[in-house]
Amino acid sequence: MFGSRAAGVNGPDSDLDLLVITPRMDRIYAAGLDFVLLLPEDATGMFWCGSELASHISQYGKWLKGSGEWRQNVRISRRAVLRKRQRVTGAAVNAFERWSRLHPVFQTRYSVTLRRELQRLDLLMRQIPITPTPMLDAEWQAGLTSTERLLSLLHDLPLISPVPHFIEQLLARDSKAVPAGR
Amino acid sequence: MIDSFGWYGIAEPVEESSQKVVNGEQGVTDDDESGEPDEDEFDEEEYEERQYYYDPSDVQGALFEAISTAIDEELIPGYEDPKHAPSLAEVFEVLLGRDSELREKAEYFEELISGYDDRAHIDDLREAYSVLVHIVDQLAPTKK
Repeated sequence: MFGSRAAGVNGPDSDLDLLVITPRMDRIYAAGLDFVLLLPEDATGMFWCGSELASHISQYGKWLKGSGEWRQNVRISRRAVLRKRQRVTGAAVNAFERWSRLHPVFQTRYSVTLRRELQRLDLLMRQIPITPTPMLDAEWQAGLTSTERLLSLLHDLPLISPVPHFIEQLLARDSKAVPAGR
Repeated sequence: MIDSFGWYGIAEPVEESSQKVVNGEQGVTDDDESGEPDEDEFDEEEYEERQYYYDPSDVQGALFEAISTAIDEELIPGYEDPKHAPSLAEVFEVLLGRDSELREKAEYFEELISGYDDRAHIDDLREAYSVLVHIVDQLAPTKK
């Protein structure tokens, strides 16, 4: 079990996140439950063990059944960092291109998402397991996140002007209000 | 919104979609490693990532835009000035009721495109596209 419930920082509407290592990869859909399915042969592989999610689960997850030996192999990979950079870049471009057509509630959502993703990128680059989202928000609200470091990461992304400046403004805007949820 | 699935090579002519599907990324190449840690125990060069998963942010953004349009046009009673970003399922619940088929379809659609760990499985995206086509056809039936 991982995510906000495992870390004890869940809200009333938080889903229960479960990692299931199983040879059966049938999709499971159930209200209130989020399943991540992983093949046994992949669980100890470099791709999974180097991933952002594996780092999070190994640090904050609660093991319900099995040995969980794969946790010993977890180490944030360059691929995980690269993928997060791509994720932030894509979200930034999306936000910039759609901004004028978005209702303010969705603008706020984009602002929060981009700030959280920059925080996660910062953690990954420092080889620190990803913290649960409510903890990211709490750190941001308490002023424990270095805005300068996030801006430095932002300007290191392959974004064309004026997108970085636009995202800077979103970060400043997000510092005023942080809604609950991912 | 349906057009946004073209990013994943779904419902788009092959010659237009092939380049996008290869990497499933946006504007970054694999050799872009600036700012990354120098050390890595894994020999990642020998490991080829399976291309089954894609960043669903483009279709999610298209959904936000579609719902924004509905709000701005005041098509959703009670959502003129929402305090939180409504989901498509919530929109249909307001318009059609909780037990409506389209609300259930919308909930399923949003589950499919939500992904996890920044990724959505290509099969889920294909299924999401089918569900969306069904929703659109129910809302505005096309002549066949």
